[in-house]
Amino acid sequence: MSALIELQRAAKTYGAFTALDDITLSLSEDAPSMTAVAGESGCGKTTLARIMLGFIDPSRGKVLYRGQNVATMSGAERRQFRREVQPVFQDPFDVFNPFYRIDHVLTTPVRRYGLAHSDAEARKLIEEALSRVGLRPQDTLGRFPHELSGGQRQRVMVARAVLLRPKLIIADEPVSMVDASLRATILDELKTLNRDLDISIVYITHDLTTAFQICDSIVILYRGAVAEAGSVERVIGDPKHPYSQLLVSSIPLPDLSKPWGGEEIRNAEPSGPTRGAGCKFAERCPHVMEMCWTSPPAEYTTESDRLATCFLYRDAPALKDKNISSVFRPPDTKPRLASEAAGNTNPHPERY
Amino acid sequence: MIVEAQQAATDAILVVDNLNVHYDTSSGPAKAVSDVSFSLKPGERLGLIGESGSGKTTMATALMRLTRAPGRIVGGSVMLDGRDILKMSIKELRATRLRDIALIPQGAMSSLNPVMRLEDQIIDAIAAHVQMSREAMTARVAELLTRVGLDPAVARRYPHELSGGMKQRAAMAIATSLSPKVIVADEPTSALDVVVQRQVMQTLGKLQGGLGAAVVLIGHDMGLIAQFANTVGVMYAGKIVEIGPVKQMIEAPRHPYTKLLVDSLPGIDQKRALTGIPGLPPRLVDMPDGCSFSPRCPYAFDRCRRETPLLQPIGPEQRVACHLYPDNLALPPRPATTHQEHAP
Repeated sequence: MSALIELQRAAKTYGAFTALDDITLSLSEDAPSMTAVAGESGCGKTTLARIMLGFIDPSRGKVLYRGQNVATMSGAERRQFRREVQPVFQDPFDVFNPFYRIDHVLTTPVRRYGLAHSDAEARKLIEEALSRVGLRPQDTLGRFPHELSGGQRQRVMVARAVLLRPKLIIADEPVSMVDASLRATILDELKTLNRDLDISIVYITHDLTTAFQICDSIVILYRGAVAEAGSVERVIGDPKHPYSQLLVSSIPLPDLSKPWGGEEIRNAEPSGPTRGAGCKFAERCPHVMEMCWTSPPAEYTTESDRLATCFLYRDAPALKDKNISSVFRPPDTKPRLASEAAGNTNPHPERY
Repeated sequence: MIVEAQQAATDAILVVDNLNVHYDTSSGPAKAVSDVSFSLKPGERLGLIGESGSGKTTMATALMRLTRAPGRIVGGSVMLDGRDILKMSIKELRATRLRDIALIPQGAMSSLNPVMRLEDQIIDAIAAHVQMSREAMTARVAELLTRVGLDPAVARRYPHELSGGMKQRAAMAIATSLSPKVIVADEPTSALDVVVQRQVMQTLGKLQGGLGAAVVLIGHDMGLIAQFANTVGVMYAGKIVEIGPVKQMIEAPRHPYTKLLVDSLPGIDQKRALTGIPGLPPRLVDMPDGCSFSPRCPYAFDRCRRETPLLQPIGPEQRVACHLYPDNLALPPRPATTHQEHAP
């Protein structure tokens, strides 16, 4: 397996504050995957995205893109990297310059990367990209950003990314500002890009339900470190780390048979700096033990496709090389989606 | 009071009747809230759900009579405990707000004054209604903060020293400081993480239970509304298109829009195709003839494009504005789709 992008013990600190703590993972180039990164505000999701995008360099460790260290790339390599790793941001309002027509964000990359030899060819590429994300070119081009809805603008951003035929799209909360009725459509488009164009996708979100629906694997971050990682069926379907359990039990499901737990939440938010060298979740953990305060837990692989960084699972083998992607589910074993079958709903839920 | 007879008759604390709120625009009035009627019993939790632009927030502000130009309340009544908020004198209105009906605004985090200590902001609100000694006030503040699960010591803090969840709870402490009969909560948790969201909503639930107040919770998250409300109203383009007990609304929605809204929420039991709602809500200055959902509705037929459906009773305490009824008892299976799936 050759790695498309690799984080080797990457960490980012701002003064005494650790935004991201010692993350090692690699995404395969041969098997395009969909990986979710989830956690609460301030857990390091966006820092991880920005490091993968090469917007910021890690304070420690390194990021390799197809074997090349992103921090020390030459100009030409960096251009290539910038083309192949595309961002989709959270706010579909901020990314547009209100004075330019929508066309501007699409023609600029075509020009900068010399994707087309003529205006007609450029137009064709742009129209193709728009159609791919479900927008009608004739209704979209020539308009100003304020004339499109948030969902449409977000799709334009996806189209812009697609235009460059990237190998990796890093989508940082792409639908959190879009109405529920449009979210599903945009996420479905990301899924299609992954399947049809072999683009790997890193989906950064705080919404575990959509992560479960579209991704193969998930990483749950807590205060910059990995709390739990593995296949979405394991991590979201049956969370092991007390923090993941808290997250999953707090999802407001539109299902009256699954009410929120009635128990009091002790410390819903992290408060102040973490104490000592122990587990970062100790102060909020309902299962906290003596050992949790003194040393950090290792990544215990409770199953072949899951690890939990928690002493409750210390009997399970610890991960040796710190590479959390070793518990990711290879995407080629992904179960057939119901959407690929005939109906809309799957009467036989997969069991794991 | 004279109104007692009326109140006993209706058994409701808040009766909204034919409320209409328009925004004056250069292309004519935008009907942000159009002929909305509903009523609320003491202790009831009504969840109003809708997409952006469906008129939810306009409605919340109109209930408090806080509508500002270019918005205009053009008709209807909001009877609170027998008195019409829309007809009160300014003096009466000032006395009624907070004491009888209180708003937890959207993004309560930014509704706090950044240069005032929390304590002073809470006292400010209370002092506008009741005379109390400074000591009694301080004690009251401590009590209010404890009630929303905050340490009374945070009273001395400024808003920037509080986390998002704490600010939201502080706003809740202010809103409930005079034990109002009706609490209007406009997307109170939209900027919060799930864990904090659950905690804030559970706090609101406990407060409301303790006060016996009725709550109007406005939101766009069907999951959140389902977890909190006992009655759900669905708004579309300024109208309530369906309203009923939460169980029926989730498990047996009658309006096609409600059904699509429920279906667009993925669960975590099984992977399935994500289904969005094709199309976009109409522009409020340029409403389609007939049912405003008809351009996006997989069930739409000719009559839907001509005639605006009115809310009609269907099932116990459930009402729906859809021409599929009363000919059908439940929502029929979805007709073969002729809709272009990705129409923008």
